[in-house]
Amino acid sequence: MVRFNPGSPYATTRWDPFSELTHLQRTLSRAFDPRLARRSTEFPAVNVSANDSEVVLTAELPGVDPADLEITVQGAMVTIKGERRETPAAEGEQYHRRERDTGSFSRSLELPYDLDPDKVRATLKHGILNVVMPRAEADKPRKVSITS
Amino acid sequence: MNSRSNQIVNKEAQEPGRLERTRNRTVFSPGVDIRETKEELVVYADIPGVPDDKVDITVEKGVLTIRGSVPETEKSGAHSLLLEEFETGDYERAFTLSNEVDQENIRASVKNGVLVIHLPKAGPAKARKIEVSAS
Repeated sequence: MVRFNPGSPYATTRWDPFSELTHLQRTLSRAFDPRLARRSTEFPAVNVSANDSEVVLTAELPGVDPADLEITVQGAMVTIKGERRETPAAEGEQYHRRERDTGSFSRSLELPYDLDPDKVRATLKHGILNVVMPRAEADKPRKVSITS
Repeated sequence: MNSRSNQIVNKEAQEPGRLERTRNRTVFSPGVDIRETKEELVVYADIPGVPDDKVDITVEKGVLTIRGSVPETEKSGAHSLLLEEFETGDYERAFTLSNEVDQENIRASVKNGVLVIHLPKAGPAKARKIEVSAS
């Protein structure tokens, strides 16, 4: 599970020198070994971005049928669960290369914001999952009007 | 699945020695399965994000080349990135084909980001009967 550092410069406006350093390190390691930096330990690899009103998660899920995919959102936690099926082998079939993995997977991420599970929209197109999760109304940043 | 997940992670395509790419974009070598039955070879390649019309398959001089380009997504400026584990880029990979493949009847389809190419085997060279005409 990935947990966002609540003090991260992305999550709040507070400056955190350690996450700045982590970010720098990541940038540098990517510069020297792009393959290493891109490697994720969990499947599927995800990209997550956010603004004031929503969090957007994208994941590469080639070969996963929408019917075999399940997304659950609870509080600030999003779980992607599914299965990548293999085309059944014909009789006497043999493999020359086998680089694509199959099987079931599950991954949970805790996001820095509470989400509104009723308004989550997900699409799976060309093997790319795109989940748009609006932030919970109560958790959104609010502008405070100042009275003189 | 996690233990082997590194295999799924995008691998950058090898730059052909004498060629340079015109687009300044990362190009990945898609992971493939190659399976053989009595009738055909089937290549499965993971090309997530490539629409059907952006897949380019060529067979030239016995080399099968798969190319797929992922359309640039407009960057939504207001979004800040929280986590970036994968990069998008184009896909490219080439294989040499043996003479066994019937290069005229190659079929391909894309479904859920997986390209499937059927390469039928050429029938056994038919014994040609040569008529001998009586003189």
